[in-house]
Amino acid sequence: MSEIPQIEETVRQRREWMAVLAKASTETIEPLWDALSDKPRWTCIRPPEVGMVMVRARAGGTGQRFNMGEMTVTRCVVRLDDGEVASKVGHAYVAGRDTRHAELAAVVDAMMQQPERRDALRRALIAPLADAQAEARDRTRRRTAATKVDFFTMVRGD
Amino acid sequence: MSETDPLGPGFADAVQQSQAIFRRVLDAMARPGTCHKIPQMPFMPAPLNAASTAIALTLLDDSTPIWLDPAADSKPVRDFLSFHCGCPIVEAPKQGAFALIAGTLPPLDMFNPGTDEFPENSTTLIVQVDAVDDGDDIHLSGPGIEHVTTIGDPGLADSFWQQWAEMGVLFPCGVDLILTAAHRLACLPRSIRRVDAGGATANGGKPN
Repeated sequence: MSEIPQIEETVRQRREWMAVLAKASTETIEPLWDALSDKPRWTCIRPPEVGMVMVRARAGGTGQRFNMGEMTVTRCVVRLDDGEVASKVGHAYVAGRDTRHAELAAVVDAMMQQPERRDALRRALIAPLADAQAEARDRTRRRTAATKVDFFTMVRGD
Repeated sequence: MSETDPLGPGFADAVQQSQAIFRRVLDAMARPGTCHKIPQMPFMPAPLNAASTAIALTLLDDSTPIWLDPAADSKPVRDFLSFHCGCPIVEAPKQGAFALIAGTLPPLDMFNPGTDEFPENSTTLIVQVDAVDDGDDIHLSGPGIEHVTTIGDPGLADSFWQQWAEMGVLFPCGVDLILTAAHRLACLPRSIRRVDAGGATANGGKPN
């Protein structure tokens, strides 16, 4: 029974770093990746491949589900070659057709699953990416807020 | 989590390689009894051989249910098939569009022979045998073979050849076999009969 919250916590953390990696781009990951000191070797179990996924949505968030449209995604699965029996397998699905992005995201996902690498890697790679993304989001929000117009209707006074 | 077992890579270039393998299976089916070699595979889930692995990666997808015999039904095989092919793994041999046999070949009537209207709905058996080579132990005749051809003894039991002859009367229904050993494959489609060295049909041409 006590295992369930722990699994959920693991899943939640992995979801977080996978989201950060997916929302990043090759240009933002590559410099941080190059700066890493211990890079593992890996094998592509599923080499990066480009495909389409159908995005489904609900009108107003609550209505009938409908197919909104297809988007291009690139996916990749890698296994680290560290000689362990239970070598970590990393998965990535990223928007667009950038195969390098998908491969890097999958490798980092595999490395993040290794407890001995996790904290250092989070500081060196995930945190800077997350900060940059938060800042970009914030910048957009502020720029949008500056041009916000409140529409209201005057009640005629008669 | 399912990541305790090592999961191996499939084709490095799925499009080119699966088309090359498909061409070999097609040639092998069109020219029964001929041996075809497939290229090196980076990984085979135990107990599959290279040819079976390549055929699985080429032919299986989410629309082809597969049955595994007890010898082939291992966790590495299940993980490999569900990851790379996404094919449903069924419990009953008759439900399978394909069957993967790594142990002793079960009786042929356990599999789906198709119907007279849709004989193509039959099960295709991928059978791992002792050897696939151009020997002259077994004589075969039928469509795709001019007169008689020979293959080396794949190590199938006498009872199999008896059942194979009996299955002949069901034509157009019946099952097709893809025999695999290491990197080699040969096909035994349902229209092929085993004959003796002179070309006469074994069992006098009649199932009995």
